Amino acid sequence: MFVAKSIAADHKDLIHDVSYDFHGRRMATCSSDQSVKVWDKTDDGEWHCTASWKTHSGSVWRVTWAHPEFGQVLASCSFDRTAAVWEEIVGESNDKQRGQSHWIKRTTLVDSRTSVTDVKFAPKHMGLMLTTCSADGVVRIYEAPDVMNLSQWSLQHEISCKLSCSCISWNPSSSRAHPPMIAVGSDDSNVTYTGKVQIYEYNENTRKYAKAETLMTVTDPVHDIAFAPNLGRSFHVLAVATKDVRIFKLIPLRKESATSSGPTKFEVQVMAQFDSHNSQVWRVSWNITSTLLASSGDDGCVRLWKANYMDNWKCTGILRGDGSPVNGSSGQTGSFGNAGGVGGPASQNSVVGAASAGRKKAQLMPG
Amino acid sequence: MDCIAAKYVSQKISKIRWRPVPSESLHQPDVFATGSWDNEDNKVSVWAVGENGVSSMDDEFEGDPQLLCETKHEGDVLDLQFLDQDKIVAASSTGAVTIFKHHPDKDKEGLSVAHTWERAHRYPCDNAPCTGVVCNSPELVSVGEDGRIVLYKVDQRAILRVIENADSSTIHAVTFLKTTGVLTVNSIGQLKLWDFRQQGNEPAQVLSLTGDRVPLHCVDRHPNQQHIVATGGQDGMLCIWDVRQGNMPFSLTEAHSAEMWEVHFHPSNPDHLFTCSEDGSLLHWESSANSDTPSFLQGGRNTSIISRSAIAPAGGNQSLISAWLAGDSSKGRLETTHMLPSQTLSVNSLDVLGQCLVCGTDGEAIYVNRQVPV
Amino acid sequence: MEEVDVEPNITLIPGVDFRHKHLGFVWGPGDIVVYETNYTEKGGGPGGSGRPAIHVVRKDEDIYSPILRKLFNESHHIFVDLQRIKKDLPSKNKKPQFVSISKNYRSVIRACMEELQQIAVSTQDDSLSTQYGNQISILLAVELIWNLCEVLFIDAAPAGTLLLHLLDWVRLHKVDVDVKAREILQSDSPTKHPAYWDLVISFVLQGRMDEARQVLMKQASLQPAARPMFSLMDNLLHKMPIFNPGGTQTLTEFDVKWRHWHEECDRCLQDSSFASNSHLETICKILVGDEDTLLEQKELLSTWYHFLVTRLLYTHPTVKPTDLHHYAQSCMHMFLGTRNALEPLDSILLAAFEFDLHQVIKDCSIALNNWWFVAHLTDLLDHCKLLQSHNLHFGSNLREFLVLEYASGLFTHHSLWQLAVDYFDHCPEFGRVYLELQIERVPLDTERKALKVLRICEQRQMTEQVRSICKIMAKRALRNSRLGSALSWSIRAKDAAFATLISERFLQDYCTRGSFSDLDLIDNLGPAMLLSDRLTFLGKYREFHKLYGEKQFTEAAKLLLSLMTAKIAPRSFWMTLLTDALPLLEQKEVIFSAEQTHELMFCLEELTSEKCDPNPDQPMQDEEVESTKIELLRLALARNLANAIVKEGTVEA
Repeated sequence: MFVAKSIAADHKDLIHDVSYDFHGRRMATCSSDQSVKVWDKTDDGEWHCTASWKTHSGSVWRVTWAHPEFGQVLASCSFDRTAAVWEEIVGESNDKQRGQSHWIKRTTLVDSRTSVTDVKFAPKHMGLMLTTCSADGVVRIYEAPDVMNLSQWSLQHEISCKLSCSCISWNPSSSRAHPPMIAVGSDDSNVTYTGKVQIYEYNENTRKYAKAETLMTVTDPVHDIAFAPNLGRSFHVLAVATKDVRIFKLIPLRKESATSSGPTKFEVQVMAQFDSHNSQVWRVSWNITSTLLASSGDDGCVRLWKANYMDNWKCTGILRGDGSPVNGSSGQTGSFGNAGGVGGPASQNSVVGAASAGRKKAQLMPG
Repeated sequence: MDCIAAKYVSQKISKIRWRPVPSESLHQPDVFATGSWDNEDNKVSVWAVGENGVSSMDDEFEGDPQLLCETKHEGDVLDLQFLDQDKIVAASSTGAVTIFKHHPDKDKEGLSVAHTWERAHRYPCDNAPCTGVVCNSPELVSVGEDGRIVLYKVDQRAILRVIENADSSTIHAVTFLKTTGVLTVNSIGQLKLWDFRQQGNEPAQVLSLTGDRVPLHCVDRHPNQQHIVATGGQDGMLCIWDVRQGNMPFSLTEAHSAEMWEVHFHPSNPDHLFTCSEDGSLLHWESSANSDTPSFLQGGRNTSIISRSAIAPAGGNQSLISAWLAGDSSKGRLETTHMLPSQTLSVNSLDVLGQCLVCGTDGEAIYVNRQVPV
Repeated sequence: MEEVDVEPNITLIPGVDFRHKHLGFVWGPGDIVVYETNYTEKGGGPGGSGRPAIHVVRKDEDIYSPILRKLFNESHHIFVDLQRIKKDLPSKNKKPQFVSISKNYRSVIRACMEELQQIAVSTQDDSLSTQYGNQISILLAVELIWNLCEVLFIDAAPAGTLLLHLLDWVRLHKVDVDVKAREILQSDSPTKHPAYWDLVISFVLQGRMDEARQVLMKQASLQPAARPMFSLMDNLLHKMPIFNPGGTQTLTEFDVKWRHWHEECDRCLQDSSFASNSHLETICKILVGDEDTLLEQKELLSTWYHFLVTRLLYTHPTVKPTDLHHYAQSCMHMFLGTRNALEPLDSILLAAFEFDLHQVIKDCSIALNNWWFVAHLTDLLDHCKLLQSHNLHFGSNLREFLVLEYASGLFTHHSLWQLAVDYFDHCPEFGRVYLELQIERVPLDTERKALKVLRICEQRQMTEQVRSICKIMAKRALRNSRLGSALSWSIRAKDAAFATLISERFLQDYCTRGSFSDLDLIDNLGPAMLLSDRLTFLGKYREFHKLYGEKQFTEAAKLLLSLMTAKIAPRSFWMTLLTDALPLLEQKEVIFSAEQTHELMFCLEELTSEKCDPNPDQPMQDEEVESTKIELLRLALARNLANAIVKEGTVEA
């Protein structure tokens, strides 16, 4: 791996979240400076900030994109106890030509009485739905019944988790065999010996979310949680960031047909557990095909985890700051170019060594 | 197929064009230009084959295209045309239309931008891809996804004329029909004739296959008989039209199994036709007429569909009764030949001049055939 | 199978303090983006340092090399050809095809190396030239391994032939001999060249007897006194039996002949025939396969596997595949000694000689930074049914795993993603779902690109992806005020809801402007009109306008009425339709029949009875206009009814 380019983010304070849009051509950043910025990738692969605006009256924790089928829509959540939905609007102006776009607030969701810690759109097959969770222990599911009118959102469900919530993740499976399912993580450090990951499932009959499972083995504070893309399998895979990285396999148990109104029960297996971050793990996230899991922890590193074809998980890469002191003016602008010297794979070099031994002047035979 | 040379060029080729040969010379063309797409840095490049190619005297390398020069192009190159010997016009996905000048000087060979019309195609607040350009020196016409037709003069910076809302859907291609008019094809299967002598935004004539909304992607005009045009559609169908005779095409032929990206009459021997497609094939159509009338013109209005398999064995000559021309099979025959070895990725563009044919693919390869039997 | 523990690679991010800060990240399409952050910050106040930067980290450098791109494109071709080889052919008949495919792959690697070589020489940039150098070395190693696998596994040559192939393998990869030969033979007096004897010995070590003899002749002609000795050597070299796989000779016959020759060499050594010339004596010792003498030539052999092949040539030319590993191990130890830790390339080659295919593949995937090689080689070996015969029950899984990895890598590239599709197609277990996940994320910059992506999805009946892509395009067209395009896309997506929405927009525009836009589209909807009720109405309503314009009043009237009676028109539009009826009612000629007029009146009453509650949103003035309109209509209808009754009565009478 190599650092292809660095971009001065130009936020006045810490960045809390960066989010790519579905196609990877746009990026949103949010910060303690209470603003959100939108970045667009030009045809030549450079990133340009096309919008920057104050979104909240507190630190903005998370920012996320809706599926492009719903247009250009962002949601953000903040310490100011609110979540907000933003839409890019087009007018008759030539702003886009000048490299600027306009975002307007479509709604503010003010139901939470405490900091809103996470915001996620539900999988697109469920329609345009937005979920928030907050420190007051409530997960809220909102829906925009008319996808052409994003100023109307109705609070569809309130799930009380009884523990301060830090993160949510929707199960992305669109299979009919899997009812909508959401996992909630809690970073409550007051209550010990309680499972900190709860899984709720939608019940078609009662039209409510009901708790399907609590991962009782996860008793330490949970900071992030992520379902893997389903890949057409019958079971689900969930990564959890707590004092270590854990990957769970949730195998739905066959329901008895008579009591099918109850939530699905799962057999929970730990697929992998890594403590190489030494202490708290703050984020976990899967790549598109869930062949790689990335985690960020107190050791200041991002670690990449990968399973081989026999399902053995290993760390395959580490990203780490070079430790150079941060000074006020360290905004790296422009491109670092092809930093080939940085972190060149050691093993690769040794192959080179062997292969080129005694062939320094070797000429190639014509094919 | 032995005389086909392939070269991998590390960029997907969207357009490929021979440099025109001066009419007085009897030379075969030896220089062509390409445009790339889907790259972070797209390019317009100029290549040479044969004698013009660099030093190599080896027979083996003859026909292997050598890069003469290239320049960066912002956005995908969606169309490319030679204006004259040294000027190339390119249509960009950014909505710009750019004229490049080729300096063939030995020591500082290069391409420079002569002029750019930025945002020639646009939506109210964003750029719209320019999908096609055509030139009839000194006039230049471009079309785009915004449904606009823009008319320029090569030597003037100002835009001559714009037909707003010329089309409610995307215009995919354009060709000059007469000096005063162009023909466009669009994404709902229509051919529209535009007469620039008329004011207003209405086409002079609209043709379409009734009840059929299959998008048309390419159009070419018969070099000698300006009322005859060939179009290629999303379903791979090849249509021959006589624009004087209203709504029914002369003939319909199932040519390819996916989008036909380009169709070209042979410029000097128009009984030959070439098509290329997303299905990865390049076909040579030969219609041998036994009478004096150009074969395309034989026959009446009867339309029939000829089906042929695009996965026929390469090189296999399939003789078909030429119904794009006639009900009378004795008068004309249509033969098709696969020009490429088996291939899977799209052939996006082709050009043919004299005995020379070039094509470019999404497999990042250029194929050159300098012995096309025409 | 034990896992070799390899330390994960560390990529350093410039300007980030890892001791006091956290590193935030997000997955991108082809990369991972990282930024400095602090996850413990919970409050609202400013807490961090200013001006943080975002760093884009890319995974695979190779994929961005323009020359390696040719390798990816060209090998894609070969891969697709390989998948087309019929599964049901008996494997015996397929072997030549597989060998030829393997050679094709290798020639692509070689072409790529040549080009890198040329460009490495011509570049001025040191770091670039190092990069090219590294790539060349990797490709050299890859080709070396591939070639050995081809000999041992794919071609699977039997005893006798096996050694011939191994000799070719060594000759092909130890080409500095030829360079040296050219240099020496072109010098003023080759025999005086300091490396003259090295050259002769190098030829002998590679079993290139004819060339060795030619070079020796030059020396012989200069030393008339030593001529008998030279001609004795020449004779030995000339007489060495070479197995001819195509000939009639059996292996046993060859072996007898070879032993005879070997004894003759041995005799020459015993009776000190070459004692007066140490070089010739060395050569003779090599011919009898003297280990110590061979090991003295380490410099010329340069690798243990060259040593192995030379040793086999002069001691066991009929070596059986199953015995190879024994010689390989001992040669490696003799050549490298035991103190040296093995380089990855050495262990990979050793694993190949041990016929441990799985180890070869695994070590290669660890040692090489690129999935290209392991994916293609494993795929080929799998086609040869070798993964099964070597007792790897997870054979095809391994193949699929590697091919998926390679294809996923291609998909992260802005341009090479198209190649990946065919690879996914040939992964029966997960290929489809991987493609589904990846293809819908391809950015759709232009319609042409969208069409290419759609074609891929449609060919594979990926209906959900097709719908989603068309929906995204429709949504974008709507944003750009291209109603016609938006409608075309939603028709293609079969998205009735969105088609309804756009139809409403068209009708709205009509109501405000009094004319239709995008007639070219609306007039040619055809059967697509049936997608949604509102679209049907739009199309039919437009048809009414056309009929009216063409003065086909009776037809127009019939259509207009049916739009209401068949409930095609939305209720909100009835007033407009009734107003449209006015001019028809006012015509001199009676157009609406008595019965039709009755129906119209019924429609009007239905509409007005619903509207008895005054609409609070509607201003008073509109209300007045509305009631005037209704009055006018009632009047016109009554008059028409009267006329119609009269006319119908007249006709009957």
